Amino acid sequence: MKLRPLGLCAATFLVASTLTACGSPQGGSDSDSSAACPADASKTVGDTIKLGSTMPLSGQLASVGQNRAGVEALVDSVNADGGIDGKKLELTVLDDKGDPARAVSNVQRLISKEGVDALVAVTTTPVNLAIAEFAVEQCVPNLFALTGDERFTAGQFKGMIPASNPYDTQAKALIEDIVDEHGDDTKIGLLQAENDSGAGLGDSLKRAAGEAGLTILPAQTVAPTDSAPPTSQVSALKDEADVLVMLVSPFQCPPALQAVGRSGWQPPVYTSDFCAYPGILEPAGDLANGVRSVNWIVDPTDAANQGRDDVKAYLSAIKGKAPEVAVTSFAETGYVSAAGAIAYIKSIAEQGDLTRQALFDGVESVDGLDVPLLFDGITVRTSKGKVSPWSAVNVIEYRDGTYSSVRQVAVD
Amino acid sequence: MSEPIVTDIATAPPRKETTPSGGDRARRLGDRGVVRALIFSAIGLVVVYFIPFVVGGSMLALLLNAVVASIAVLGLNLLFGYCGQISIGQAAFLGIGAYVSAILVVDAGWSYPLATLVSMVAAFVVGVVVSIPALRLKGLYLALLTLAVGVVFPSVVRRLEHFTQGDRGMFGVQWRAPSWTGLVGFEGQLIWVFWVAGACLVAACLLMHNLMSSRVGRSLVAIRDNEVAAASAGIPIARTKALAFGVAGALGALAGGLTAASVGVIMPMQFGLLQSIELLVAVVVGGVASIRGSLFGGAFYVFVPYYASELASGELAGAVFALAILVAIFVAPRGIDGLLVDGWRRLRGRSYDRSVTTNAPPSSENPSKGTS
Repeated sequence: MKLRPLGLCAATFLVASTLTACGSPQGGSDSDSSAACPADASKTVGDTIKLGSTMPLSGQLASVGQNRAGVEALVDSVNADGGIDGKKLELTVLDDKGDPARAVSNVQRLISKEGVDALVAVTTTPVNLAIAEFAVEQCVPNLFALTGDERFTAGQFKGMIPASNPYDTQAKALIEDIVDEHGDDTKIGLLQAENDSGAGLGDSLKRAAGEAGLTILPAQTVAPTDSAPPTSQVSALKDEADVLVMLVSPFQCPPALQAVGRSGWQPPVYTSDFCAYPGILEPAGDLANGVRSVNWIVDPTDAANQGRDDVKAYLSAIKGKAPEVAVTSFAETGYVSAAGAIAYIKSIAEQGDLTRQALFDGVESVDGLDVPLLFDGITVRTSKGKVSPWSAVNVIEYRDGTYSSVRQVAVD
Repeated sequence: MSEPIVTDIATAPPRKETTPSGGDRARRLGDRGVVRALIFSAIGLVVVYFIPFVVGGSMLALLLNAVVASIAVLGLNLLFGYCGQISIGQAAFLGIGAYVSAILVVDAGWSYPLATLVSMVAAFVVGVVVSIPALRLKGLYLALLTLAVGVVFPSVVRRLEHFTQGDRGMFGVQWRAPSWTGLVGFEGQLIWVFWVAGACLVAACLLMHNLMSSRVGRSLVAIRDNEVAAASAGIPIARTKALAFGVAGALGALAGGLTAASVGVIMPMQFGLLQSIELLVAVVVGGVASIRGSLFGGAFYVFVPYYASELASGELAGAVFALAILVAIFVAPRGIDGLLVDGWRRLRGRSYDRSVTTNAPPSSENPSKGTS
C-alpha cells in the first residue's frame, strides 16, 4: 500500500478541522458575567500580603519597566515601617518584554503559583487587555494598572483601577488649555507615534477638538522605535499649524523638539503625559522651556515641593534604586501606582477581614482615596463609574528642569 | 554536467527511501517511511492531548507559545532550510494570519477554523506573489526583498485602520472551547487552543515530511544546492519556489491565527522586523533543513528569552539571550538537532558521516544538506 503524501496531509487537516470546527468564537471579553470567585479568594490573607506585577523589564519597552524601581522602593519602605496591620508585603515582578503572550504566562504564574493577592502596576495596554480576563476570573484585583486606554474606563473589567489618566481626560485638559490660551480658531498640528498609545491619544484629541470646534490637521506619524528628529513631519506641519501637539514616546520628545527648533518654527508645544517629566524633557535644553503637558504627579525635584512629607519620603525611598532620569519619570509613576494600591489595601483592611475577594469587590466603591505625590486637590475615586479614577488632572508647564501647575481640570 | 545533478538530487532528503533506483525495495522503504510518519504523528497527538493533564498554568501557556512558534519556524525552515531562500519577513505572514482571522471572526462573525483556513489561503497567495520578484534575486538581495515585506506589513496594518484598529490593536478574538469539551474559563480556553495548536503542529510536521519525501521536496533541495543545475534537469524553478514561499506563508499564517486565538490581543508591533529576525535565528539554532530542528527552534524562541529574564534582570536579559545564541552557534553549528544527532550516533558507537556537512557548509545560499 502506498499512501499519497499530500492526500494523507489533506486527510489529517480535514480531521483536525472537523474536530475543531465546533469551537464557538466569542468576540470580546464578557468579564462582567464571570462566575463566582474561586473558593480561596474568600480566605483571609495570611501574615504576608503578596503583590505581583508583569512589565517590560527588557526589550524595546525596557525604559518603561523602570516603574519597577518605584514599586520596589515603596514596598521596601512600607515593610520597613512594619507593613500593613503587621502584615509584610511580598512583591514579585516578572518580565514580559511588552509581549501580551508572555504576560499571560506571567500572570498565570503569579496567580496560580505565587498566589498573589493583588496585581500592581501591570504595564502597557496590550498586556492589560490580554491578562484582564484571567485576573477577573480568579478575582485578583488589578490595582493601578499603567494604561490610559479608554477600554479600561468603560466599566468592562471588574476589579481594576487604571493608574494612568485616560486618554480622553488628557485630551480634554489639553484642548481646554489650547482654547483658553490661543483661541477657538486654533489649528492644531499633530505628531503621533505609531503605537497603541499614540493612536489612542490621537483619537481622544480629535474627539475633544471636534467638540471644541478646533481644527486638527492630518496627523504626521513617527515609528514607535524611531529616535531620529522627525524633520520632514515637522516641516509638513509648520506652515499650517498654530499649535503643535506631540503624542510620541518619551524618548522621542527631545528629538522632536530639536526638529522644531531647527525648522525655525516656534509654536506653542503640548505633549501627552509620557513626556511630562523633567528627566524626559531635559535633554532638549532650552527648546523644552514652555512645553505644556498634563500630569497629576508633582515634580519631586522642584524646590517648591521639597517641604512636602510625601516628596521627602519618596526621595528617601528611591535613593540609589533608580537612574537619575527615572526618579522624575517612570520610577515615580511606579511609586505612585504602588502607593495607590497600598493606600487602597489599607482602606479595605480597615473595613474588616482582608481577603482577595474583598480587595476585588471593593474596587468599585473607592472614594476620596489620598495617594502620595499627587497635586493638591486630586484624589482617587472609582464610585463615579465609567470615568477616570483620578478626580482631576493638572496642565503643567516645563521650564529649566522642573515644571509647575498652570491649571487644574476636574474630571467628571 | 548532468552527473552532479543526479548526485545532488539522489542525496537529497529523504535520501535512500525515495531514491529512484532500487525498485521494490525502495517502495517497501517508502511504505515503511509513511507508516513510521503515521506512528510518530499518532504519538505526537497523544502527547499533545496529555500535556495539559501534566502541565498547567504558566508553563502550559509557554508551551503553547512554543508550539505556535514551531509552526512558524517550520514554514520558514521549508523556505530557508530546504529551498535555500532566505526570508526576513516571516512575521508578516504571521500578521496576515492573525489579522485576517481576527477580522473575519470579530467583524464578520465567521467560525475560527474557517477564518484561519482563509487566512492561510491569503498568506499562500501573498507568498506566491512575493516569490515572483524573488525569482530574479538571490542571497543578500533576496534578503532585502523579504526585509521590505517584513517592514511594510505593520505600516499596511496601520493604513487599514478601519479594519484593523491600527495601532490600538484588535481585542477579543479568543477561540472559546466548544461546550462538549467541558473546558470552561480562561484556562479551559488555553487548554483548547493548546490542543488545536498541537494538532496543527503534528499535521504541519506530517505535511513537511511528506512534502520532502516527494518529487517536490527533492526539487526544493536541488534548487537550494544548485539552481542552474536544477533548471537544467528540468525542475520548474518558478513554480517550485512559488510553492515554497506559499507554503511557508500559509504555515506562518496558521501560527498567526493561533497567536490571536491564544492571546486575544493583536497589535502591529507584534509582527515587526524583530520577530522575523528572531524566527530566522530560531531556524538556525534549532537546525536548518530539519523538522525536529524546527521544534527545537520554536522551543528556543520561547524558552531561552524567558529563562534569560529569570536569570538576569532588565536589559541584562537581552545580553544573556544574545550570549545563548552565540553559545548555541559555536557549540552546535548545525543547530540543536545536529548536536543531538551527533550525540546519539556517538552513543550508538557509529562514526558520523562527515561528508554530509563538509560538502555543504551552512550559508544563505546552501544552508545545509542534512534533513530529518
